[in-house]
Amino acid sequence: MKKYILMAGMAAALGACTDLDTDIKTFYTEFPDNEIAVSSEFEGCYYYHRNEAWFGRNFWEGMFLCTDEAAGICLNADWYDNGRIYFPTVHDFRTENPGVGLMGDMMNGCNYTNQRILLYGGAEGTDPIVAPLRAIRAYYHFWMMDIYGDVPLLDHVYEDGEEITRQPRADIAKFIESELLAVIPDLSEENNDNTYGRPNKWMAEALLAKLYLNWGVYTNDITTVTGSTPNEKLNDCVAWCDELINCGVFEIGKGYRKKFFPDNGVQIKDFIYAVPFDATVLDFAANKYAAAHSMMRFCDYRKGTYCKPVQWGWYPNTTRAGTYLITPEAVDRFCLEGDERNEIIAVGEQTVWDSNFNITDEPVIVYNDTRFRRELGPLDFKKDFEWEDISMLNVGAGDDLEVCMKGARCFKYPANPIDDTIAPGNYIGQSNDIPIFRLADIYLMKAECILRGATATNGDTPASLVNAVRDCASAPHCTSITLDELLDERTRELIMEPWRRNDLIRYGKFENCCAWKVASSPASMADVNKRLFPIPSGEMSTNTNWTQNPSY
Amino acid sequence: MQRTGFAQNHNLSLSGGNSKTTYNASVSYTTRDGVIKHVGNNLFTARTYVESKVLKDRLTFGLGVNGNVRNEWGVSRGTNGQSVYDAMYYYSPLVPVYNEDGSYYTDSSISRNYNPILMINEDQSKSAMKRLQVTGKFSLKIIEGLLFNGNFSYQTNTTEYKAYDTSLSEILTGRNGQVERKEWSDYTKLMELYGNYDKEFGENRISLMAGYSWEQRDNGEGFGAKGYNFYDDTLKWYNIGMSNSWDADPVYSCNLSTVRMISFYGRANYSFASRYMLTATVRRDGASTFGSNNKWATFPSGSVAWRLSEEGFMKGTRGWLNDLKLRVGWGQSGNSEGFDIYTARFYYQAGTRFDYTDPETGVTTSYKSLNAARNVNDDLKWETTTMLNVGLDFAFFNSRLNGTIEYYDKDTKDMIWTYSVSSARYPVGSMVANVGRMSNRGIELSLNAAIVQSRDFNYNVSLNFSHNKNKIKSISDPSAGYNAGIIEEYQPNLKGDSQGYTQRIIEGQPIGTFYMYEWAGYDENGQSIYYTYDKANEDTYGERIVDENGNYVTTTTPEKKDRVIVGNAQPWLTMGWNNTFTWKNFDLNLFFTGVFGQKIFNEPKAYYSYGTFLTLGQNILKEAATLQNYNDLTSSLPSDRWLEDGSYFKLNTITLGYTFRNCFNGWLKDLRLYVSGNNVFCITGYTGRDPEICLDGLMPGHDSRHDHFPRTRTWLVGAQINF
Repeated sequence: MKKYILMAGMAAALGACTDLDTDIKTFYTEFPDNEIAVSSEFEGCYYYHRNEAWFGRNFWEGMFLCTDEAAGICLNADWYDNGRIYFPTVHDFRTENPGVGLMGDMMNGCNYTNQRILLYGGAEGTDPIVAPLRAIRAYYHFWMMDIYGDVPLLDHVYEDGEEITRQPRADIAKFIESELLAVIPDLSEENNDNTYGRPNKWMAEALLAKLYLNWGVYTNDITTVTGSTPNEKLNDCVAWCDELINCGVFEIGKGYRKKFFPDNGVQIKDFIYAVPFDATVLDFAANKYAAAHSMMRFCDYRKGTYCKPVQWGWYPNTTRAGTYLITPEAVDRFCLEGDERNEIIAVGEQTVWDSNFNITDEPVIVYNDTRFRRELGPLDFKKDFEWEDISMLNVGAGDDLEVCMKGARCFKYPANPIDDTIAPGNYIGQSNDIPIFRLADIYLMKAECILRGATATNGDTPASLVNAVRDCASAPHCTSITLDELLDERTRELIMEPWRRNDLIRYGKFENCCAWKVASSPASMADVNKRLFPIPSGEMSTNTNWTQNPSY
Repeated sequence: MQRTGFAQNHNLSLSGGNSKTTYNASVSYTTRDGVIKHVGNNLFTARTYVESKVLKDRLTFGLGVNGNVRNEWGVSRGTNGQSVYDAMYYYSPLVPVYNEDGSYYTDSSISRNYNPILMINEDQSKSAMKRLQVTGKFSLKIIEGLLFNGNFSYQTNTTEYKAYDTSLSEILTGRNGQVERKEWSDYTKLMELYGNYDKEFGENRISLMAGYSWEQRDNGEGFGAKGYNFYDDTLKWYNIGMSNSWDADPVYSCNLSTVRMISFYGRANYSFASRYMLTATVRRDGASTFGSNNKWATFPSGSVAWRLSEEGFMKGTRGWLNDLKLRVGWGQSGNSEGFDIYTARFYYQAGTRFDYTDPETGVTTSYKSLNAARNVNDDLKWETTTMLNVGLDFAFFNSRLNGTIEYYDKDTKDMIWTYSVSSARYPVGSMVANVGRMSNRGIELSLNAAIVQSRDFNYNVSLNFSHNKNKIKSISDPSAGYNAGIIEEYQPNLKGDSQGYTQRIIEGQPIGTFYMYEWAGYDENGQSIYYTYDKANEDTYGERIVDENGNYVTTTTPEKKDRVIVGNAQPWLTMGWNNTFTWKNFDLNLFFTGVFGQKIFNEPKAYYSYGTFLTLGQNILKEAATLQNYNDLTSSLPSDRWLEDGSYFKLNTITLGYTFRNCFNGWLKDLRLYVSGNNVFCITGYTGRDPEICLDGLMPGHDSRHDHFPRTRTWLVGAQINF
């Protein structure tokens, strides 16, 4: 007996002295069985476009600066930074420009979502509970194919050894269509705090309408697309626009500028789907552009500390780059008398905006020093000006107060004083939500479909639809409108929202769209292959079996 | 911003005992002011140790208690201009530090421009580290030649960090004063048990050892908190509870990392007539860090040695050759340092927040989402280094000249790195795996010579040289699906290329290979131009592009593909030369060091030669106005223009001392007074501040501008008293 006890004791001791099992005590190694945690699994799928690569920062460098509305400038090579914003501005997209690197997050979003769909909806992924996941997956595919053309079809979790290949753009478009049609009946019709910023039935319908509007672009060779490429889905587009117009959940409302102020959110009835930023709740200090964006950093006058009174009523605490300018062509479109939308374009002599963002009459005066001893003159943004060196879009010396006044700007997303102090360092963390789908856009899309040949419904004409949109901004009515005038209306309504590049390509007007840019880099501005971005360098090196888009 | 830094170093030790029990104890105190204001540290150490023999002197056991407390003060040294060291370069000398009313002068319209005196005074931090260690050991003689030994150690470290940025801070604006405090603790427990058996019979001698060791480290457990918005700055960092505002997540965790290592080891030594020696060792090591399939690994090693000088055929050399020993060894050892419990296990970490509205109560609360943090790798295993070394020990002239020459060849395999994997297959887009291979080969020579030995005057020299050749043999294993892709290191964040890197890890090249643009001089407009290459960005090598006339094609805007290998940070030779002179009661010691053949990337020069900074209101290097081209807008790129030879030869320490002996009438035994200098002079062609920069890690060879504490020359006077 004693021998056995001794042996057992020795065995136990032997076990203990070779035991290398250690546990992680600080993090969950098993997913907690808690319904709120489970809903976070869904939450994790929805925000792959709310980060630095996307609407937090780089999206605007690649997708906004390349349009006919904006240009990214440098100041004697300050902010040139190896052409980070110069190359996208003149359509000379390089694979290492951050503005081009949007693909990785979309792929990660699809893959993460596929794993959740597998967990909660099974292999077929058809359980109604995963309908919002399939909708967001379709949304990510939409952006990928709109930007890059042929992209992988990520509709399941890939096995070991299964190759990930790029599929033709038309197939992806059809996949998106079939997914949305399948899940729309199961999606929530609510539009409240719980669904804001997340896929619901209305977001899916708006996405489907956008897909149908551009069906001609997506199902044909991109280099052959012109403004008159036929589109077989125009009537379907109108049908889904009507669903959104008639559902009674949304309304365009009255008052344009306030929709984009820092406190915007679910209460803006015009917003069908938006990216919800919140520098405080999402912790800008820790998460940077996944919590807030910095639009004013790039749009505002560089030398605010030399102004008295300062334009915003508070002195900036962090520096302003002042490198996003609005092109003269776009400024000229803001020509309707009494149009509230004219106020977002800052051109000419500037006046003070009060703390409620009302524009007063008090002029902003710039001084030669920060102690305001010698006046220089009024703050006057000049729409047209002399370039120091147009080949780099260089406006001149960054510390010259007048050089910094070159160029019109867009103050659509103004900042609050607290945004300037929300995080240490050089960043301003703004909480203005960025809308993706708006009812006003749906109205303009329906007008465009009718002009392109769709059957008018509900007694709407293109002019009546445009006038309904104009009413919000108290702009004068029109009696009729052409396709090209509608494109200009889209600038007035949707500048600095994600759709301009998409609109220009559909109209066949992406090339040679701005005099500055054509003078700076004529070859790239004329190249139709630039309608697609290059596959970013990160994705090319991970997927060695892919070939790069033509002309890159 | 600078001051002369004073330092003091005092210690007191005593030891004694009798034939059964010995003891020693010491205390020491060091305090040092840095040359930058508000930088400094002090250290207080106490050690005690008692050892006693009992059981008829068969059992020796000892007990020790050591402790130290170290305080450190620092200043801001972040990137993006938030560094006091960087501000010493860029801050314009044309503007004042203070305005006439006594407030700080600031200009926030200049990007990344902070008043350095403001940073020193208004952004302060302090750390206090406390360590306590208890050690015990015993040695039991069981029978003649057989000993059983044990070592035990229990150590705890606690670090407490606090930082306060006042309401005037420029780098933390709008907070009205912010406190951050954090505290974390480390615990290490170690136990070693081993037995020795030594036996001599005739000319044979055998020595055996077998042992077991068990070590556990529980490091880093603690937490930190930040609070801001105080009424004024009077409370500094003393009351975080009085802050009026908190971030959404005001408290954060310092995460506990547990590593346990167990080893079984044995060694056998055999020698015959002190002429032939043989050693064989085997270790069986286990670490909790690795995957469940590979926690344990076996590491054998062996060596043979032959003392030629004892051989019969060497009898004729006995006059001048005292010792000649040839040794050859081969062995394997494992590495698990740098990895811990989180390296290859699956767990969830906090992601962004989301709002959840309770369907029953309608109350909305903010929650954290959970994201998978790591993929599990059950096959993660030890990194193994196999080393072959051949050495020759020699001694001549009555051992007045002796030394060693040694050649080694180390091959390290299964190096651990993080590889991209498709997030279509795995929960996380990266996997930590053993793939890499690296080799280090070199020669070391060390010599000691007693050049002069006489009654009054002695001169001893010791010299060592080493040459090492490092090569990365592979970083990818495509058959296993692990492609490292292009690994680029070190972003100097230059104005012309904020995303650019200076180095690349290339198979077949050493670590620290500089991979940058090649500067070709200036074009007719005075802009820097660079050579262009006919290759893709992924290719390492290529040909310069040549036009029809046979001239190289250059450009002011090079692309990523135009980079090539331009040098590397590894030195060709490292040496140390120590000279000790004694004459009567004087002693003089000179210690030289030299490192040759390495290249350094002179980041301050690369960054601050850019003329545009003057037009923005900041400062640039004086030589940019004369030696560089002020209007050159394309100079600020990572290129070989900023790569310099960093070879140096330095007088590291010089010490002159005088010892007073036999003149104290029994009160003191002796007293030595000394004067010592550190970093006395340096001979180098490097134009930066100091060629002695960090040469370890994955990014050697960078003279960083934001985190480089100026190297100082120190003069010391001291006294050593023996009671």
